[in-house]
Amino acid sequence: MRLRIYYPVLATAVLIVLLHLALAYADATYYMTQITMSAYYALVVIGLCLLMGYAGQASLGHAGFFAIGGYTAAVLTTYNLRPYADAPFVSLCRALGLTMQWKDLYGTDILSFTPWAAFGSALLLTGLIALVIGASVIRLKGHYLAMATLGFGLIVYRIALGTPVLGRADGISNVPPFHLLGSLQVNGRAPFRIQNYYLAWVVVLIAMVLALNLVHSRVGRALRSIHENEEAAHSLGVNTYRYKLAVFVLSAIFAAMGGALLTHYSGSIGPAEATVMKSVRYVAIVAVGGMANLWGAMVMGILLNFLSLRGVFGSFDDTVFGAILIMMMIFAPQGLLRVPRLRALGSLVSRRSHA
Amino acid sequence: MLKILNLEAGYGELRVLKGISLHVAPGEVVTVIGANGAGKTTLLKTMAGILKARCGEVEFDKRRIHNEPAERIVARGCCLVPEGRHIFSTLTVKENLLLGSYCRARTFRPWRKGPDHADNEQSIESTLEQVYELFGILKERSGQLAGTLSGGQQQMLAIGRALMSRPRLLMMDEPSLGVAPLVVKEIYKTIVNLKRRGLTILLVEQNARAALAVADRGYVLETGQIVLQGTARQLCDSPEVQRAYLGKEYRSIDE
Repeated sequence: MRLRIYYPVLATAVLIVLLHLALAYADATYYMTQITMSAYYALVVIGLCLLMGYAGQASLGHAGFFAIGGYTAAVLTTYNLRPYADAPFVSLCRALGLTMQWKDLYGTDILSFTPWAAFGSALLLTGLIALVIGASVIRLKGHYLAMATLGFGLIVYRIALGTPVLGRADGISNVPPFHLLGSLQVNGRAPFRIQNYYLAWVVVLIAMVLALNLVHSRVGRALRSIHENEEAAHSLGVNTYRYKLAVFVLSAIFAAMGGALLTHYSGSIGPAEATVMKSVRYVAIVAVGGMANLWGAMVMGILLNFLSLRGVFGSFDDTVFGAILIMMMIFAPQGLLRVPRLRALGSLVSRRSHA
Repeated sequence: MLKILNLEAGYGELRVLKGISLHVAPGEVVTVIGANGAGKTTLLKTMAGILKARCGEVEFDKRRIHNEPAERIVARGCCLVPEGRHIFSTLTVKENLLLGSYCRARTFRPWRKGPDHADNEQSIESTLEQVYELFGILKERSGQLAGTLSGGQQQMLAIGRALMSRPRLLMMDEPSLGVAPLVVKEIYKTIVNLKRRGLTILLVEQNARAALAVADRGYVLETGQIVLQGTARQLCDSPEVQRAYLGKEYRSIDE
């Protein structure tokens, strides 16, 4: 019975392969690039869905966590350590195999940290920042929490825009591909397109399995009880503060994972990833997906980001997501799939993930 | 079992409890009655660890608990049924009940083995059966969303949910609030039932008549202070209580 919650994962896996076949048949495999990028954005949305949909804690700062993950990965894999090659810390890292040598576009020799080391540091750093920020702001409720996280997002944006090491307004380009295992690598160039399409989906599905597992456990029940009535949950002995903080950190790490992987995939990251409009976009997607609905969030995360990356919304990109959020709040604050007329459809497509 | 000494608490500037002392012996049903704003709910919230005590002591089983977080107090066997029920309406009845056993479920702490942590799903299941036995309606409705229950059923769910933590002391905040008189009767029948099973109960009520009918002893709380205490019989007979809370000895104004 417990395995039942994973059936949609299998179904999705089949759909992913079918989608590949369809794209190959239509000779449109170039769509895969945007699907891959959307999948990494969907990681943020899945994490935010846990935080917002299940635990009921709003965050308008998740683009900040995404950017911290992405920038950490970018800086550590591109910053040239050659001048410091003999410094004790750098030689220790070299001895431990945490560094690599490569040539950039202009043929400069670069000694930098390996993507694995950078990836680990990105998750760790984001987790720590989320812990410090969360420890103080997660006690706030409703609008106040949203405002505090909004402030955090603005700070991250300003730091990205003003720090020379982070490339200021240009961001960081030249980020090397992420060699995972053997020839498996996160790389945005055309020959790796199909490989990366599946790689991104595997990451998303693993994230989904983790998230589904979480919401179907007693932890998930505790999160929903906090969402509904924090005081009552507290009086029953649920440590509300700790759970809220834990899910906040977890969702930040999901965002950082998306940020770091996408940075390796597209080979660059810029301050546009840290803007508040990006945070609003993630919130809008979780809302459209149905708030406490992981599958809805994932599907919408991929679909809407895909459309946006394809340029379907043109220069109205941010406007569209802003409008979506406003519409959702007015007409379907519980999510599209809870609107009575659409509910039948909803139960057909994706059963409420915790029903 | 429970001893409160000179307890003071409040919200911000406001001092609500002004030095309260009371005690509850094992197996007793003790009631605290008082009007609106007397500090009854504040008292319970402070004891449950939701509000911090300003000064004074709360002793449960010879342990001082007034500085402990709510989840530890629940785990010690002291559980609150909050005022106005506070059930989780978008969760099913069964999920609500299981949340009550939250503090008992095994936490992953391999280095701290002990009877407290060995509590497994089986014993939670058996408590669930006991609660179902006590409130048959909850079993019938176990798969239904809790928000669809009637007020009285929700109150029963709230009590059942608290019982899921297997408390030794059950604190109830106005269980008769907002339910029909017939249901009040039923809820009080349950309280008598629980008392017969040996559960210690601290009952906070505005409905003095109902509370004094089941209680062994009682305290009268007025503007944050205990003004009167005694056995339920004594309180029922006391003219002050009769006038202020039981509505007897009504006199017209021109007397």
